[in-house]
Amino acid sequence: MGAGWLGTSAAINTFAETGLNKALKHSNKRVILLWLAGGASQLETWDPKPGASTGGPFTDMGTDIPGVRISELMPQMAKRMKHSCLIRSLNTRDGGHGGGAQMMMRGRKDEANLKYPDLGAVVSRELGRMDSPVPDYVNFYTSTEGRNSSKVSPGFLGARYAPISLHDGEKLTLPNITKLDQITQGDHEARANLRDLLSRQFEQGRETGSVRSHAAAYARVHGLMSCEKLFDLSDEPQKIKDMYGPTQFAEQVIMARRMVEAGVPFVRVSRAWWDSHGQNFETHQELVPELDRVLAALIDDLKQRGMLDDVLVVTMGEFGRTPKINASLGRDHFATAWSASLHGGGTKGGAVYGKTDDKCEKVVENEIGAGELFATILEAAGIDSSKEYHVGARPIPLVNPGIKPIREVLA
Amino acid sequence: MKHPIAIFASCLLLCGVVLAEEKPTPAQINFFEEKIRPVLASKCYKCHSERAQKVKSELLLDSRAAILKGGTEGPSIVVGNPEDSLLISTLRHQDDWEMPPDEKLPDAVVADFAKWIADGAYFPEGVVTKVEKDWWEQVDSKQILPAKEPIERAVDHYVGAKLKADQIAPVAAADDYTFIRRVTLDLAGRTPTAYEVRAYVEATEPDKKVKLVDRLLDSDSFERQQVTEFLWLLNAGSDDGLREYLTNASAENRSWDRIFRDVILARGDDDASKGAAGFYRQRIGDLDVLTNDVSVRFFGINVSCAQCHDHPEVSSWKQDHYYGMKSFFSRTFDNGGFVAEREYGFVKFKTTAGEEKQAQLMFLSGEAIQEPESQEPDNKAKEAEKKRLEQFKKDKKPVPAPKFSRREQLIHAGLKPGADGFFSRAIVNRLWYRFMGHGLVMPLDQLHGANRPSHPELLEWLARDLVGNQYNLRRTIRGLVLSEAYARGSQWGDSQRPSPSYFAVAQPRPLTPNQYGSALIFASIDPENFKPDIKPEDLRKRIEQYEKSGEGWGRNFQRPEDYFQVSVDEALYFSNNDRVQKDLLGTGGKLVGHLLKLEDRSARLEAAYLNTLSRKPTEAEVKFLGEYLDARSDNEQRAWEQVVWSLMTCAEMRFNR
Repeated sequence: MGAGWLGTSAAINTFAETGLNKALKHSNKRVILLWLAGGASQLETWDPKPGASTGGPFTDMGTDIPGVRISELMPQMAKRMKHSCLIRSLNTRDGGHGGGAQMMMRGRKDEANLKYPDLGAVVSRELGRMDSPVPDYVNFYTSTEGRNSSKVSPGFLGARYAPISLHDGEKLTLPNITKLDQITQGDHEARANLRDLLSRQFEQGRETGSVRSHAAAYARVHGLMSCEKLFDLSDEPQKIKDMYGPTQFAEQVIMARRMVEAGVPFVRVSRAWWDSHGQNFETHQELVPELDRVLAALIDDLKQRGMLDDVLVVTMGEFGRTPKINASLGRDHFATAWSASLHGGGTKGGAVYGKTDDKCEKVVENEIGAGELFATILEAAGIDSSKEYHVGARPIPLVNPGIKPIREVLA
Repeated sequence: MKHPIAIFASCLLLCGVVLAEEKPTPAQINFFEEKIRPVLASKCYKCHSERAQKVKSELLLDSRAAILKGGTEGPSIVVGNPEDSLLISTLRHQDDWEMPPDEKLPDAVVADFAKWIADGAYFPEGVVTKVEKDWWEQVDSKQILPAKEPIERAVDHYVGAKLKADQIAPVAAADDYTFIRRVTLDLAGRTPTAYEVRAYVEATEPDKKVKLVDRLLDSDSFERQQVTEFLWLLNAGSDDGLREYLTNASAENRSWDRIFRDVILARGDDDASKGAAGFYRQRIGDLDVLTNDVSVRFFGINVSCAQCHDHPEVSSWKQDHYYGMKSFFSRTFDNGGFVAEREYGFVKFKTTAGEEKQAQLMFLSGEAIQEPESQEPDNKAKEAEKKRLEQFKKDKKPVPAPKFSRREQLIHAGLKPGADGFFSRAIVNRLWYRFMGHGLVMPLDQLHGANRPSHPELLEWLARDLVGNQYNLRRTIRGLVLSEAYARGSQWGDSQRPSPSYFAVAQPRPLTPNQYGSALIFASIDPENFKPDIKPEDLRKRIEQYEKSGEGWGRNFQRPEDYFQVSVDEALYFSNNDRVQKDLLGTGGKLVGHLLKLEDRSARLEAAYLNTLSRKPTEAEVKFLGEYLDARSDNEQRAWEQVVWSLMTCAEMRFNR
């Protein structure tokens, strides 16, 4: 992009540098976010309190890391704590689905007139490549959580960094990547060439960032059209499929792995619906073992492919669940003392950060908010969390001032 | 060569001598505060102050010691000797160093600096940045062009003067094809029909441009385009009833101050006010959103950072301003769909020092507004009030307006002569941005006193003109599009494209959703649909119908903002979605069908180009499209569909060229 067009102050605008820092973007870092929509219980996953009045019927079990115990519902993960970091001290202060999702996906609350980009948008902006033949950000959301309440949004980064969203009710593939039957392959290619010739003439003497982005967008069409195979699991070996299990969530996570393998920087896979206001234990008895199996399979799969050092896997949701068990044997929304987990890429396996009290009512050690977790995920993916973007002349840091990543869990 | 100010580093002896503590005279103090400090603050401190985000060339200009020390190039001044002072040669753009980088300060200002250096370079100790004079206070209203000057002349006078001063040769006027496309997109929200293009290009009257602009301004299409644009400005495109209000307002060219009044005072208690109250619909639940939106949309000022701390660049902006602005709406609430207002209540906030403070009603100008005493009712009275409000809700009746309305005070404060600059500059800058692709002040929501426009006198002139002509927006729009600055070509030569703030070359502007949708629909239609011999009434209806489907089509696209980038989704959509094939290509009543009826290839190409890009094909284009057509001669319809597709999806179609 010509500096001349940018004029003076805008020259520092990070919006403008897409493509410029191509050379810097040879990182193989990727992120897969497993989003536990509705809010999973920390007590039935990463922070069990067996025996406590709030502990519920399940017990805990030891893991491959001495002294670290997790719920008995996660026997597979219990063997893989050396590839995991647990964060047990989240106090994210928003117990609403929308607010909590926004908080966790963006690391902070939006301002009145400024919508912050979510984790996927930032990661794809930082790690994506202008000439990439694959999408930058793919979001599998569930119809239960709904597209809007997933709070997945590029915010002020704009549509260029919006995810391609797919929901579980439709055929899982990208929209508009299949050539229409009524157009021959020859015409499809020929007209793309003609458009290119026409556009190039127009660009002459009009090399502004916006004008150039037109050609850049069309240049990716061909590559993206060859992405259809990423969604087609027919060539995936049966033993891999067996590892992950027979569920739709498992299939989506396999697709996510295929995508990061093909270079997609950020994939979000949502599993719903953890919102167990009633029958918390039945819900978790069903969902936790599935998560356990899929997550363990993903870790093994990445490891076998030599990708575990580059691919960061995160599990989190809007919030955790109350230690108090309500009259319907449910647990309600609880953002005061809950857990998230990080695996592989850029993190220190076996680390446990933070601590809750005996009943899991509050954090007693190393309390952090959503911002710290957001910064930690960025750092683990090799992104400097102290970086700033600019909206107009105003510098906007990636995380709010004063927010630091948790060094203790970073490799 | 453009470089940061640079300075040399010896002469400690000399400095030592003059540093002798002599008491400055009042005249020296005044001279510094009036002539020197404001220029340093508005022109230099962005890069040469301790408060700068990034200091350039290690040079600081916020104290005498720092100026004497200088930066990487050494001291900036030799006290007592302006001719040997690097600062002066830099300001004069004499040598290698030219500052400020994109403008040469007026000779009189440079002379002030020379005088200041000759006179000992007095700089008061200890004050880093005092309240700086707002840029508009530095524009002498008596020195700007007389009010009777036509708007377009004033525009070209000031834009031209800056180009001349900086020795930039502007691009010549765009050709007739480009002009009618550009101005039709801007005023009518669509592309011109092939008949309109031909008629305009072939017309020989000397005033054909004025006639075209006036015809467009009188059209229904312009009214609709105004509605679309103002719905974006006020409500980010959401209807909420506001569309109907704006439709009526646009039909009678309602003045901008009246719209402001209608919207801010809307209570939703009659039909007209119901629509205007649509502005509150999505904001009334969040006072911070409402406060900032009013500030940004009507006054061009984003006050949100002052919510948590005093403004970093505008030292005169405090949290008081933010909470003062918030106070105008703090008594406003929703009562069963009506926008009601209480008689009492204050905004309290915590200062950065942690102290609790009660906000005073205060406009952006800093003027505090006196209001009658009001008492917080006791619990019993509050109970009674609650019941009363419930009853109004039940009866579906509006709550009577308070005797003293804080909202009404905002109208008075905002439109008060002397303080109306916030209001008038904001809309002028918005309109300028809409038609020129770059504001006189950027960003659009930072119209504060420390953010100097590229053409301060011009902005002041245009704002004064708007106020003096009863806030008649159509009049300002007419003036802008009749200027030479608007009509320039968008293609720059081989050298580096100058900063857009020169307006030396037109910006290729990404089309807005309805412009793009309409451009595509109009491009796809058989041009015979717009034959001039159709009854005018029918033609109007037809155009309206196509504009409506264009608007619908436009919903596929995002409204472009600064640094707009075309999304990959859009490219995929055009490449593979069957709606493109169904709505835009094909033969029945479509361009492709029309082309196939024409005799020879050159007639077809010309018709295709006029319909899509509003121009004739170039020789090169005839050649390469011809090659494709030859190769695909086995299926003419398919071949022409691909040609039309490539014209519709090329960059030229996506932008207002």
